[in-house]
Amino acid sequence: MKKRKTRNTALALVGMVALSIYILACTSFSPDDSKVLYPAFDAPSGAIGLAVYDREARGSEMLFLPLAYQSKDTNVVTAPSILRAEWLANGRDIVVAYSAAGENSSDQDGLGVALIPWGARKPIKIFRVPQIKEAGEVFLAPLCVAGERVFLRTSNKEVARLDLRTGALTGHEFEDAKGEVALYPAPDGAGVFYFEPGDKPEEKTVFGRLNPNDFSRTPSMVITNQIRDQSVVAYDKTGRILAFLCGGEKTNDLLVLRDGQPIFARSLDTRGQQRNFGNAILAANGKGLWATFQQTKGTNTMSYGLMEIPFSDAPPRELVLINEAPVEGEPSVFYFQAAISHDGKTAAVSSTYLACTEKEFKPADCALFLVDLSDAKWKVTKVPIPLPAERTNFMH
Amino acid sequence: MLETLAHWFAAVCGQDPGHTWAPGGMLLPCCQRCTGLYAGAGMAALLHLWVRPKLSGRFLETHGVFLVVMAPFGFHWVAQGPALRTLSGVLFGFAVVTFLWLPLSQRAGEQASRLVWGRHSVWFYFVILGAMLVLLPTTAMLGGAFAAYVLSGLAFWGALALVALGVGEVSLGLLGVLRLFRRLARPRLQP
Repeated sequence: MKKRKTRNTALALVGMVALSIYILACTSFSPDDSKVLYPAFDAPSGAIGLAVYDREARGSEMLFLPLAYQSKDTNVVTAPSILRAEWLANGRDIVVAYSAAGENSSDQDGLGVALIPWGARKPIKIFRVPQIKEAGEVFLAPLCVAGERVFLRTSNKEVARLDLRTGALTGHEFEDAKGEVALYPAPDGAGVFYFEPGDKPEEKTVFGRLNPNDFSRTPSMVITNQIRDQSVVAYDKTGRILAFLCGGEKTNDLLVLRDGQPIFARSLDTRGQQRNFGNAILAANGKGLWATFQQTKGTNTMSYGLMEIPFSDAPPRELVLINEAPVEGEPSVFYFQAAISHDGKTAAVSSTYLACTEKEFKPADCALFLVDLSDAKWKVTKVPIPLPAERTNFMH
Repeated sequence: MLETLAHWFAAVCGQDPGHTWAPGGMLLPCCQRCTGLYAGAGMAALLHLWVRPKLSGRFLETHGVFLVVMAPFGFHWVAQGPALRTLSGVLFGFAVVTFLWLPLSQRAGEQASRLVWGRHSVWFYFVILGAMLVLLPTTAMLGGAFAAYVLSGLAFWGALALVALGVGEVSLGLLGVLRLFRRLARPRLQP
């Protein structure tokens, strides 16, 4: 009897230990917010590459630097005009999308994608996705990464799915779609969302989830309001809450829907059309929105910052990160997009691309800004991004 | 509901969306392997409570194999797809529950239910296990939104069962320690 009791206790202990090992092994793969990916200049070449900032070590290193040439005659490095990177949900790999060809190349429609292992000796994988009609649009929103697959829009109604493990590239056409289908990543790499507007601007827009396996679309809600700007949309992981800007030219109205029903609306002060919004991210608690903005005082200068817009009557809270930078051309707030850490305590935004669009951009303003949102005063850590002597200009 | 479950399961599962079933386009709250584990654990707990199979040597050896099978799959030593991930989880879930149930079964009294099921209890247990191995990945692959809720509910029940078994084990352990202290504190009789 005693022997049997001992056996049972020992086996129960084995079961308990096995379950503990399983659970611990399963959770250790999630990203830990300790590092930030951001675009930065490479001093020797003047090109833009992908850098990693280690928040604990307080140091940066260049991770990926693809180079292209402006002209066969001059051999002036222009580098890809723009690149965008995301961590995979496993926290061990980084995926980067970048322009695949130089200005005079015959392969203008191609897009490069690289899978870079982090912290392990594994090969770097370089992919080339052909026939991307509007490569510039790919970079306006975060990369659509679902698990180990990247979804890239190749044309208005077509999408390509790249399997980062096998390299398999699968094209799909949304034959039944009424209008352009825009893809957005779910937070934490938890799938892909889509917007499907009607043929005409006044028609309804469908928001839903794309099945990463068979490209089937499951609508979550139908939006009757006209979405003003598809780069300023925010949603939660489940796709049940959606916030976006609507309204005409002179007003910015924020509308928040839950399962297609309005749960909150407020007007945002556009300062007489002198303020524009860059990108938006839903706060982790679902009670507000983070958004980047640019605003001018009517002069040839522009200020850039971060704003918290609560879903209540409380006034938005603003933080200006770059004050009165000189501007010449069109507003470029799309080049000033923020990301929020998984724990919701830090916002990160870099001004590298602003420095490419404005010749007179001050070197002191070119930086990676880390905003401690858990601090009452929103403490800002400014990581300088050195400007090269010869700055590349965008070619998109 | 799935949102709340996903929040809870985040504590014990990596929730890699590339390795998560999405019946009807709805992501389950835990990955394919964890879905198998917790759903399997839930079913195993029901079977041990209801059918009470005889926990003989051969029965335990088989479950020992189920437990060991997780190593090559869990550590990715062998290539595997979604179905295999789920199946390895189901077997592991059955094994863990069986081993955790062992000490508790002595106290619960195995005899009562076995009178009803008799020698068929082990057969019935393995038939249900086989059905789980077939139905779980099939439902996850082909099912719709309703299947998503059913699978999530089953996984949640399995997680609750594992927590209850864990609490039971710890309670038994504490009782054992208490008894040991009492025995040590008892004055020894002089010869």
